Amino acid sequence: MHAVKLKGRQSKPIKKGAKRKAETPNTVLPLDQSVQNDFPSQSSNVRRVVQSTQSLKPIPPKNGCLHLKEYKENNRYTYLDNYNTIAELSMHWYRIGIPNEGVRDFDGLRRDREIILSPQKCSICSFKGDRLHACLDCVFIGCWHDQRHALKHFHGTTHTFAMDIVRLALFCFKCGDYVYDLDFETAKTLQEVRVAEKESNLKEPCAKRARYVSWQPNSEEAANISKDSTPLPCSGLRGLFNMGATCFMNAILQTFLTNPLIKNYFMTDKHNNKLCGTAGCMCCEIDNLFQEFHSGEKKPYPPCSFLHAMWLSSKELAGYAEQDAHEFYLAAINKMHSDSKESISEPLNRNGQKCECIMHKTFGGVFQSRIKCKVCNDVKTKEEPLVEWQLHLRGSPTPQKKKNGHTKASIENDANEMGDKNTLQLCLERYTAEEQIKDYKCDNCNLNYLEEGVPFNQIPASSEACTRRFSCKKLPPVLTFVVERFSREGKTTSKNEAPFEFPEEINMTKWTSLAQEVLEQGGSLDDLPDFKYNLISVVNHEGKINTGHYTVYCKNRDQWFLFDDHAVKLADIDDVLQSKRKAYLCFYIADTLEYDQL
Amino acid sequence: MSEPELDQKIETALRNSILETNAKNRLKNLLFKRLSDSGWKSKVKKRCTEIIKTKGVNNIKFDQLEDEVLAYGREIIPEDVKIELLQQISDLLDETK
Repeated sequence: MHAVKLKGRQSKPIKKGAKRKAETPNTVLPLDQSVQNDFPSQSSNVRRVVQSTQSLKPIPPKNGCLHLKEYKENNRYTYLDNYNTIAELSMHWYRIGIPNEGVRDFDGLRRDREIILSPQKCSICSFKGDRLHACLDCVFIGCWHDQRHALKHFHGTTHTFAMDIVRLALFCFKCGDYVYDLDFETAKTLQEVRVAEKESNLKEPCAKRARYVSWQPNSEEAANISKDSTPLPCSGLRGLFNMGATCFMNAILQTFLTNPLIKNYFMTDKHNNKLCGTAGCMCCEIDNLFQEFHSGEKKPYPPCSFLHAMWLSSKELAGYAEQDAHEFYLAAINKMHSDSKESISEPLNRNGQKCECIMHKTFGGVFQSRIKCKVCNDVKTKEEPLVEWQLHLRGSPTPQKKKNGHTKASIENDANEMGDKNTLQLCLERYTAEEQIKDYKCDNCNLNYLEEGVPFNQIPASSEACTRRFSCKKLPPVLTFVVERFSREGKTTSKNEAPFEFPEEINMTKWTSLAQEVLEQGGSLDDLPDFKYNLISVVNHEGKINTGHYTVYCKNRDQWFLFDDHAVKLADIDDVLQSKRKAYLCFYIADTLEYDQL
Repeated sequence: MSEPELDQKIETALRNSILETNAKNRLKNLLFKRLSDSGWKSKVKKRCTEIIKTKGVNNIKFDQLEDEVLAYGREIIPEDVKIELLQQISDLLDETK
């Protein structure tokens, strides 16, 4: 019997007879109440509707607190009705923005020209700021800090429950804390989904989305489901055996298998290895890997057929020699592109036509180089599609011993400059900084010379240096940063083990072409939207240039793991961030995705 | 009206007027952006989880957590963020006068 494949990210918990184990292995996530309430949800921007790294919140308990339980037993459901009413109204007050008119800020408060205050105010002191709570028993709104009128209302009337009108969090005064209850949380989720629907309809009226309807199986359907299928503990985690110096392949494969976009593509059956039929198709092999990883089997898997397919496709990577993970990454992308049904015929049409194959959709971005000629002020832009971002490190390579035992002097002691650390942000700054290029023959200047009758080979190169700037024109959903640790000088190749610091989350606005244009015209970056990215994988390399070992840290559904060939261990974000000397490839995924990127 | 009540009224009125010019929201946005970029947000998040783990999920209330984390958060704000925001605030107050 073919195991049940969980489709996509939404997995409905089956009410009766579900033998499924907890979704997150080994750790019980604490209810992150405080964080949820200090920085409210980022569903504020109209265009972006999907969050890629949605954290798996634990299912709230049936009864939020004893007091809720007591009131529910007495069957007074007016609280839930009131909650629903206020939640709906709150959406109108705070969340739904009319596109091009109102812009929402972090609080969710609408910020257009006239309506900029909270439409609600404290019933006692008329405070109109944040953290207003509405009583669920009567028509009262109280402020929280300063005057604490909400608390005073409770003392005066013993109305036990209140809700934060922006964040819709339920507060129980008797417990003195926010409580989470299944009924209220479902009501809240429903309201939020409705808002997202309305926003997307307003923004993109042509793209018709079916209205979200919550589905629960009735008793007959539930019986059928539990009879005909075996829900498996789907952790999607499995080790990969090292088949002979294949750690480079294992590391990259693990990053593919935990990458949410690739996972969605294969788990929604977009490429089925049983229907494909092409011999040596790498997409089929990956599909097979997904099936193996989600089969519930815990023992490590030997990826023989994948290895075979890979050897047949790229002769350079065949054999048992140690290879470079970065090269394998590129080779895998190319092969999957050519095997994919959705790819366009030429590899990456340079006219900016987007390739629809899963790999290019996920990793493919467009980079731009702008050359400005100082003589004629001509600006020439050139766009190039790339699936990675290569970063140079400052700092000397590790000294290599010469044959007679003297250590080779370190070249380019840039790292000895004060405070010249290698962080991701600094590397990006260096990459996108303006650089002078000499001996450049600007086309416009050339035309001018030609018109004047100067033969082509006698046109002087511009004596004033032209400037060139790189930037990213289109950010891919998954950003791959390749740290250039291996450098070649003459006959010797050396490894640079300088520490490379990378953050857990990064805002890429500064390095986009849009930002550069805005800055050139004198605008401010603060008006531009954020392009936030979160770290999901880090490939580490230990050892020397000729021989070493690859391991990878991957984030699977909010929990970090260390994949060392067949060994899969729990890891902490601190361990990941500490691997500064070993980090080789870093993968970041966009925090919010647009519909055409999926 | 007694003195403290009058003060309260003035304070609320001042607050509301600042809100009305939308400035507070703009400043808040700026602050959030700077804090998020500088890594402050992740540090505070980590501190929250630390506190919850050490005290136990059921033994801590939101307000207590908030107080502790607030103290921590205030300490670790980077200097340049402080300076920038204070500058903006003083400009704003000059305008509202």
